[in-house]
Amino acid sequence: MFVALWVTLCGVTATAQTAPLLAAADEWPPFSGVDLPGQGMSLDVIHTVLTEAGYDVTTRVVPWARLMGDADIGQFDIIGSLFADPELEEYLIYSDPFFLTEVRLVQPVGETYAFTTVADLRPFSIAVGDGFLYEDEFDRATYLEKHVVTTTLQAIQMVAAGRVDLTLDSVDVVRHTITHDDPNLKDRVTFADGVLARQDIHMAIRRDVEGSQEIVDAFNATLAKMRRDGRLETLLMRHVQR
Amino acid sequence: MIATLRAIGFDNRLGLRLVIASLIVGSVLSVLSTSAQLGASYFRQRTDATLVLSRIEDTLASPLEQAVWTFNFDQVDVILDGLAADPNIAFVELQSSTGQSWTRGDPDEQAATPDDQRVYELVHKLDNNRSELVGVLDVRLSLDAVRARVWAEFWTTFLTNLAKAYIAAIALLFLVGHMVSRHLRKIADHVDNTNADNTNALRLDRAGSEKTDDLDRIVDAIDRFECRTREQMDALGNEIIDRKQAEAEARQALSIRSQFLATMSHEIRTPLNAIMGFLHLIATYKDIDDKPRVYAETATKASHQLMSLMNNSLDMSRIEADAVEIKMTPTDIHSLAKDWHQSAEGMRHMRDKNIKITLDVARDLPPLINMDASHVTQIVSNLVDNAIKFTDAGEVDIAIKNATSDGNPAIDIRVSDTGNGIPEDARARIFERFTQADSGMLRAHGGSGLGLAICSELARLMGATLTLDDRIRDGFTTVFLLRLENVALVDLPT
Repeated sequence: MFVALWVTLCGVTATAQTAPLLAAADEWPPFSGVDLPGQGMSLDVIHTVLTEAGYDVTTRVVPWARLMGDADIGQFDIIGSLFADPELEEYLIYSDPFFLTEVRLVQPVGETYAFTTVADLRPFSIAVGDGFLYEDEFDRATYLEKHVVTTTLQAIQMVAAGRVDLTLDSVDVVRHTITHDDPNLKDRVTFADGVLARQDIHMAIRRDVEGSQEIVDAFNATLAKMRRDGRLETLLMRHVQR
Repeated sequence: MIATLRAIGFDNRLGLRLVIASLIVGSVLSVLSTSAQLGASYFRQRTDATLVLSRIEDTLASPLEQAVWTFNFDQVDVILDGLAADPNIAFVELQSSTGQSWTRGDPDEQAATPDDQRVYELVHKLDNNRSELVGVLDVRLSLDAVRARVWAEFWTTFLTNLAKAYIAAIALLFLVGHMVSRHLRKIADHVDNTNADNTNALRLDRAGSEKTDDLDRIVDAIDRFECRTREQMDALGNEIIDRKQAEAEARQALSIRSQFLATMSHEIRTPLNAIMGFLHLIATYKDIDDKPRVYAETATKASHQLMSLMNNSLDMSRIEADAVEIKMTPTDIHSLAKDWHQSAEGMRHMRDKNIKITLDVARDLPPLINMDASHVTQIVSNLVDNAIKFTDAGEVDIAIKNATSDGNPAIDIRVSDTGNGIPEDARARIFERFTQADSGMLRAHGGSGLGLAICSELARLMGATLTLDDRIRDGFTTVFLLRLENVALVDLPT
C-alpha cells in the first residue's frame, strides 16, 4: 500500500516535470557566485523554493555575456539574480521578488554628500560597472562623468584612492565586496545619505520552457509560503549582512 | 665497398686532391658566410628584441596605466603575463602608487645584468592639465634567448652548408673522374703501351664537340708526337742499317790490313834478316879491304833502322787494331833491371857512345811484381835507346823505386839522361805520333817518330802512365817517368 502510494506521487511529479530545470546566474556576489554558499542568494533561493515545489533543479554560475548572449539563449531554463527589466519580459516570465536591495552612492570617509537627484550628480566623477544596470534615470544620464570599471571592487578602490568622487551599487554587493575582498576599505569609504533606487531581485523563466507559467506560479506560491513561515528570511540572512 | 668507392672516384687521387681542396675552401667559405648571415641575424633579432621596449611605450603603457588607475588588477595581470611571455623579457616589476606591486621573472638571474632596461612612469591625465603618477613599470631585457637561438641557427646553417659542400664535392669527384681522370689514365696507358709494333691512334671515349678543349689538344699533340717519332724511328732504322754495313766493311778492311801486315812482316823480315846476317858477315870478314867493310857496316845500320821502323809500324798497327795482349805475370824486377842495364850497355856500344850507363834499384822493392814484363821492357828499352841516342856525354840512368798512387802501391821507373834535353815548346806533344823534339833530330838520329807514341799507348793499355818529368835534378836534362799503378806486389813463397 505504501509502495503503491509512493509510486503514484512520483508519477504526478514526473508529469509536472519531464527534465531537470537548469537555473543559471552570473557572478554577482552575494546574489550569485561560484564560491558562495549555495552558489549565492538567488540560486540558493531558486533551488530551495523550486525543489520544495517539486521540481528538479540544477544551478550554475556563468558569465553575464554567456547568460544573456543570443547564441546561448535556450541553454538555460531559469535566470537568477535579475532586477526587473521590461525589455526582457518579451521572452522571460518574472517571478515575484524574493529580495529587495537598495542602490546607494559610496563616497570617501569624511565626505558628506547626500543624494537628492540624478542631475545633482553632474559635478562628480562616478565609477560605474561595465554593463551594470542601477536605475533607469541614472543609466540614461549620459551627461554624467562616468568612469567604467569591470568590478565593484575596482569602483570602491577608486573612490577610496580619490580617483573618482563616487560610485554606486547595491548596498549588499558593496558590503560583501568590502568584507570579502578588501576589508581595509571599510574605514576609507562610506555610503552617502539617500537612496538612488530600490531594486527587487527576481527569478525569471524562459517563456518557451514547457510549463513555464506553471513553474512560475509554483515558485511564487512556495515563496509566499516560505516568507510566511520565516524560512525565507532565514535563508536570505545566510547571504547578506543587515 | 671498394668497388663502390672506386665507382664514385675515390681511387682518383687527382680528383681527391681537388675535392679536398674544394672542401677546405668550401668549409672556410661556409664558416665565413654562416658567420656573416648569423651576425646579421643576431643584430636583426637584437633590434627586434629591443623593439619590444618601444612597443611597451606605444601600446601597453596606456592600457596598463588605465588598468592600474581603475584598480583592474585582473587586467594588470593579463597585460604583465603577456609582456613576460616575450622570451627576451627577463624581468618585469610594477609598483603602483597605491601600494600594490607585481613581478614577473626572476630578478636574481640574467635580469641582474640585463642587456637593456627601461623604466616607464604610468601617468594618468586628469582634467585641467593635471596628472597623477599611478605606477612605475621596470622592464629588463635579456638577449640570452636571442644568443641561444642564433647559436642554434649557426650550427644548423653551418652543418647544412657543410653537408651541401660535401655532397657537391662527392658529385665533383664523380664528374672529375668521369670527365677528366679516366681520359688521363687512358692517355697514360696509351703512351705506356705505344711502341713500334703498336701504333694505334689514341681515341678517347667521349662525345664529340665542335669546340675543342684541353683533352682534345692533348690527344692531338700525342698523335702528332707519335707521328714524328715514327718518322724519326724509320730514319734511325735506316741509319742503323747503313752503319752496320759500314761497320762490316770496316771490319773487313781491318782484317785485310792485319792480314797484309802479318804477311808483309813475315815477307820483309825474312829477307831483311838474311841481308843483315850477310852484311854482318861481310863486315866481320877479315880478308876484305876497309872500304867494302865500311860499306857493309853502313848497310848494316840502314838495315837495323829499316827493321826498327818496320817493327814500330807493326806495333802501332797492332795497337790500333786492338791486337795487343797484356799478360800480367809475377816478375823478378831485380833480375829484369839487370837485363835492362846490360841491354843498355849493348846499345851504348852499338852507338859507340862514350857515356856512362847507371842502374839504381831501390833496396826495398819487393822481389816479385805482377806486371807485363815484355811490354814494360819494350817501353824501357825504347826510352833507354832514345836517351843513348840523344846523349853524347855524361850518363844515362835507370832508376826503379817504390811509390804510391792514390794510396795504392806503385812502381816508378825513371829513365834520365844528360843529353840535349827537350825544348819547352815540344814537351807538350812529345807523345804524339810522328813527333820528335826537333825535326833536325830525325835527320841526325833517324827514327820513325812512333817510339814514344807506342810507349805511351802500351803504358795506357797496362794501366800505367808515361810522363815527361818536369822536375829536372841531379844534372839530368831529360827524365821520363813510367809509373806502374795498382801493381799487385807478390810475396815470395816461404
